[in-house]
Amino acid sequence: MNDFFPFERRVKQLPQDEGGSVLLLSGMMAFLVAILGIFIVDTSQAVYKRIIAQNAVDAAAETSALWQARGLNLLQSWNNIHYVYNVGIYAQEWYYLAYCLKVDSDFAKEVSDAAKIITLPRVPGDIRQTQRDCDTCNKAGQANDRQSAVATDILQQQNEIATAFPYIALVYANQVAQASGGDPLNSVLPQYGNQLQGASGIPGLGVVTAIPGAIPVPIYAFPMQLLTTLNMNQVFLNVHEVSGEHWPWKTDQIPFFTVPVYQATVLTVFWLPAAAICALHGHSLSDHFSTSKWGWKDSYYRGYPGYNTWMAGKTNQTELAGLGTLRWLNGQSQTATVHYAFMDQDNMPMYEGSVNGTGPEMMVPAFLAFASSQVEGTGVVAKDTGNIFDQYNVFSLPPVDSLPKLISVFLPSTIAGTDWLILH
Amino acid sequence: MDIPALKHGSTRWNNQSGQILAEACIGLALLVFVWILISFVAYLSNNRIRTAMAARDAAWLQAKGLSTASVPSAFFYGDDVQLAKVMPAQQVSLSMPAVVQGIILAQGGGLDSMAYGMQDNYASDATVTFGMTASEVKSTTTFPFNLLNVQVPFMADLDMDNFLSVTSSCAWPGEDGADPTWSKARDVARTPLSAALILAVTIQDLSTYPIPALAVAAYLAAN
Repeated sequence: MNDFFPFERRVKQLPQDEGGSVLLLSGMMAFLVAILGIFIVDTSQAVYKRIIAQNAVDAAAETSALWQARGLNLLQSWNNIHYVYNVGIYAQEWYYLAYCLKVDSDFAKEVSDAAKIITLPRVPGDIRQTQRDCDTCNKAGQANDRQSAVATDILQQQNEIATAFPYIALVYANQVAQASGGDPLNSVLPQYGNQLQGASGIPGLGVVTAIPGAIPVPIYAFPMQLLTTLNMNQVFLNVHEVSGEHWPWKTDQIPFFTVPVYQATVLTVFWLPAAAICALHGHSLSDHFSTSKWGWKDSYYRGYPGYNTWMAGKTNQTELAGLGTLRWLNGQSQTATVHYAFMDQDNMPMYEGSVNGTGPEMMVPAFLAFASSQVEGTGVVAKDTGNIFDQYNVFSLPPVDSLPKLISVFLPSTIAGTDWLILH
Repeated sequence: MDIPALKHGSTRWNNQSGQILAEACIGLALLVFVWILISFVAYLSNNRIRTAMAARDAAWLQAKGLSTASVPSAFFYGDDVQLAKVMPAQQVSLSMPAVVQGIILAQGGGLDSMAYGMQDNYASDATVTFGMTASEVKSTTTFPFNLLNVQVPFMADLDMDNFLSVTSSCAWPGEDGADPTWSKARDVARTPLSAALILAVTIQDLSTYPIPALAVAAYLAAN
C-alpha cells in the first residue's frame, strides 16, 4: 500500500536516514573554508591598500622635499651671487674714488703754479684732465647704479622662485602620489565621515573634511599645514625678503670711523675727499648718490625650511565576493521572522525579504596614510661670523648678513654615509 | 521465486556500508580542492603585498640611478626570489597644469620661474611582478604553480595570466645625477632670464666693472 506513496514513506524515514550526512558536512566545511579564504584575501587586500597609500604619501613627501630643496638652494645661490657682486661693486667703487684722489693729487702737483690756478679755466689739456677726474667720479656713481639694477633683477628672480616653487612642489607631489597608486582624497575623506573631526596630533586633521568641497580638482596628496595656513610660501619654503643691516647689503647707516674698521668705512674715507674734489671742479656726485644715500639699501631672501606632513589615501571597496551585503555578515541588520507551518515546525525564526542587509556594508576600508618630510639645512641666509674674507683666510671681519658660502639644503638621502630615512 | 543470489544482492543493495566512504571521498576531494585554491590565492595575496613594498624600494633605487638587482632577494623568500621580476625602469613625466600656471603668473611667479620646474621633472616608475605566465606554467616545476599542470580529462588549457601573477607599481621623484637638489651656484642659470642675468653680470660687466664681474665669475666657477 505504501509503495503507492513512496514520497510519503521517504519523508517518514528521513529522521532515521543518515545517508548523505558526511557529504553534507563536507560541503558545509568546504563552504566555511571558502568563506575564510575570502576573508584572508580581503584582509590581504586591506593590507595591500594600506601599503599603497603609504607608498603614495611617502613619494609625495619626498617629491615635495626635493622641490623645496631645489627652490631653497636656488634662493641661497642667488643670495650668494648677490653678496659677491655687492662686494665686487664695493671694491670697484673704492677703486674709482681712490683713483679720483690720486689723479687729482697728481694734477695738483702739475698746477702748483699759482698763476696757472688763477688763469682757470685751464688750457684744453687741463680741461681733459678735469674731465677725467669727473669721469672717475661718475664711474663710481654709475657702478652704484649698476649695483641697484643687478640687485633688482636678482630680487625679481628670487621673488619668482619663492612664488613658483611652492606650487611646483604641490603639483608634482600630487602627480607622483597618483602614479604611486594613491586615490583622490576627494573620494577618500568622505568615506571617513566625521571620524576625522575630532582627530588630533596632526595639524589640520580636524578640519580635513573641508578638502573635498573646497577643491574641485582631484587631490592625491595634501600637506596638512595648508589647512592651518593658506600661505603657500610659508608652508613650503618659508622664506621672505629682508633688508640687510650690514655691509655689503646696506652701507648708508655705517658710522664713520667705526672700530673695527669696515671696508665701508675705508670707502667712506675716500669718498668724502673725492666728493669734495669733484665739487671743486664743478661737479657733484649727487647725480648718483649723496651722503645720505651713499651705498645702497639692499635686500635678500632669508628663511628657515620647515617640515610638512602629507596625507594620501586609498578608497574603500566592496568585499571581494560581495558577501558584505548579506544580512548574516552585517551586524547592524535585524533579522526578521517569518511564520510558516510545515511539518509541525511553526513559529521558527527565519530570514525574510532580501538576503542583502540595509545597514552599512562590510567593506575593505579606506585608508589614510601620513608622512612628514623635512628639508634639512640651516637658514637660507643667516647672520654669521663667516664672510668671504674669512673664507679665503685674508683677515677677519665683523659679522655680516649673509654667509658667503653655499648653505646646502639637502635631502636626508644625500648625506654621505647615512642611511635612507623617511619619517612617518 | 527464491533466488539466493538475488536475495543476497538485494540485501547488499539495501546495505549502506561504504556510503560514508564514498561520501568522504567526494567531500574530502572537495575540501582539498578548496583548500588548495585558497592556499594558492593566499600565497599570491601575500606576495602581492611584497610586490608593493618591493616596488617602492625599486622605485627609490631607480630614481637614484642605482641597480634594482637586489630587490627580489630583499623582499621574497627562498625560491620565490626566482619568481619576482623588476620591470625595466619607466619615467613618468610630471607636468604643470595650465590652471596652476595661471595662479603662479597671477601671483608674480613669471614664466621664467616655471622653466625651473620643467627640468628634472620626472618620476621613476618601478613595477614589480611576482608569478609566471600561463605559458611558463606548462613547463614549471615550481610549487605551487606546478599543481596547475594537473589536467583532468576534457580540461582545457590553463589560460589565466591574471590568476598566475601579481603586480605593483610605485613612482619616486627623479633624484639621479650628481646634484639632484641643485646645490651648485651655477644652477641658478637654468632658465633663460636667469642665464641672461648671469651673462650680463659676468660678461657684459667685465669691461665696465671688472672687479664684480670677475668676483661673480670666480664664485660660479668655484661653486
